[in-house]
Amino acid sequence: MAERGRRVAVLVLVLLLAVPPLATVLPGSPASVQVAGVTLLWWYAACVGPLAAVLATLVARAIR
Amino acid sequence: MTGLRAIAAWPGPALIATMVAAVAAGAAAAPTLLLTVALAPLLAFVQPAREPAARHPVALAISLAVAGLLLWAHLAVLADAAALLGARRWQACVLATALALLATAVPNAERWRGVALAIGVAALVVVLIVAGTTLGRPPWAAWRAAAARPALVFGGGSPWVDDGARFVRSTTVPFLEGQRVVAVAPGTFRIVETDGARAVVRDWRLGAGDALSLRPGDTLTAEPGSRLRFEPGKRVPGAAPSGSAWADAAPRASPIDALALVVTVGLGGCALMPGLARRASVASGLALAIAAGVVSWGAYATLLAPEAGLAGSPVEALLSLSRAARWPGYGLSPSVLTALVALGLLGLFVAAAAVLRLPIAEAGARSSQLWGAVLVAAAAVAATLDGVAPWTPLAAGLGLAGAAVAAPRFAGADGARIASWPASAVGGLIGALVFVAVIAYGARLPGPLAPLRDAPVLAAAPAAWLIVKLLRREARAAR
Repeated sequence: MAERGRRVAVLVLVLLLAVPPLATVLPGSPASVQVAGVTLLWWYAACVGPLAAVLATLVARAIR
Repeated sequence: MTGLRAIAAWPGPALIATMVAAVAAGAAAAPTLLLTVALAPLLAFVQPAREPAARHPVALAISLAVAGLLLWAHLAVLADAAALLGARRWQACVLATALALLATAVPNAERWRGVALAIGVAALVVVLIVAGTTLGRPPWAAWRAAAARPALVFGGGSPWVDDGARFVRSTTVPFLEGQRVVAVAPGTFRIVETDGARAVVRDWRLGAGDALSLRPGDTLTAEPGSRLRFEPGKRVPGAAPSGSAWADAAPRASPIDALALVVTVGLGGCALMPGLARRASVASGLALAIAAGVVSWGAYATLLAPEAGLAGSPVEALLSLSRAARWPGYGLSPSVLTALVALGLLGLFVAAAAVLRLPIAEAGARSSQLWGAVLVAAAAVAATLDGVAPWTPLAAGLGLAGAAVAAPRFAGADGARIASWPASAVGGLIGALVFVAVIAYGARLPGPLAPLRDAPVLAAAPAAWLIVKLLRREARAAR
């Protein structure tokens, strides 16, 4: 993986990991909003976060 | 080999059991833990290519300590499973140790490690699929159904209301409603009754068949090995009061605790999976499999067995899916599913034990096989003791690996030297010393630094990183 792509991937992954702690301190508790009976935080942790991380890693791998 | 190494080293029985238990219990930190464990392989993938580890006594000592702690955690999970199933802890430890040693001694050992890993993963996947198809719900529907429950109560078929179940380690549970519990085996129980602002502590020595009545607000402490039977239809003590409380606990997590978890698990993962470079498919598949599998298992466990955290062991949630076989219309018996879970955990342990031995060889051990055997045996002895929950050695192992292996590497220690020592050894030594010091003197830390007691890596990793950065630069300037 090229150095630039690697740095972008690290940044994106760290940002994705920072979302749950940040979501707990946001006003209005957006993490508690339910979609199809499941809270947004859990959708994020189980589906959106890992999928976004995989996509970001694969895209960053292509960056030269 | 690198793909196998990556998968086998991460996550292992202890981390899987801990994640499933956290999801099933509705722990506030569960989403953060799950996300970090799932993303750790990707973090390892985007690490810069590393040079071979330095051969040095300090690196060897760190590798031994990390491997020993992680093996202890994994074996503690297997011993907990044995205790829950009515066997002795040492029996599980002896069996797992013998299999792990056999896997390193046979010809074509690497192939057999792969077989053990494949068997472990396949067994767990089969149990998950059986549970899902038997319940007839996808995981998100199971989640929705669990969250819609007005109260989390003991259901029919639970061992806690049928024959009584066993506490794996000392456990204290609060009661939200009155309940009559019956001792199935003789044991001592401590009840703390709250009478207004006054707490009254009573110790009860009960014989088999003796009953205790508890009122709302009381707490009960049960010793390891004691067995109790609860009333069906009553709220599970210690569990979330309702399905909505279970589902909504996560957004109220402490951000400091979440940060500590991210750093401990994330850095630990980077240290344990250095061979993942150039394995994008392995890292991606592992990330998605962990996220989907653990959440599904946790949702089904909550629906089938809301009392799955009562025994004081994370493995109870993993074993609880075998109860799906009690549902009508399915041919498998619960004992078959239980055996599959046990087989899965054993397979994962054998593969993990073999892979955790590799850094010891890289660090310069003359006989890594002998060191590996001694480590597994020592970890087995430690795991026979029921006083320590698997999370304690697991968090210590991941934290130490993060502080003493990953942090110096991120500072550019690979291939560099500080005076006559490899920079990775100096950084590792500082990281390990700070890590141990915070654990040893954590009780004396002032209030603002209190979170460091639970996550020493928050202090140790920056210290190791800084030392390598500063001294490495000075060493260059001196030339």
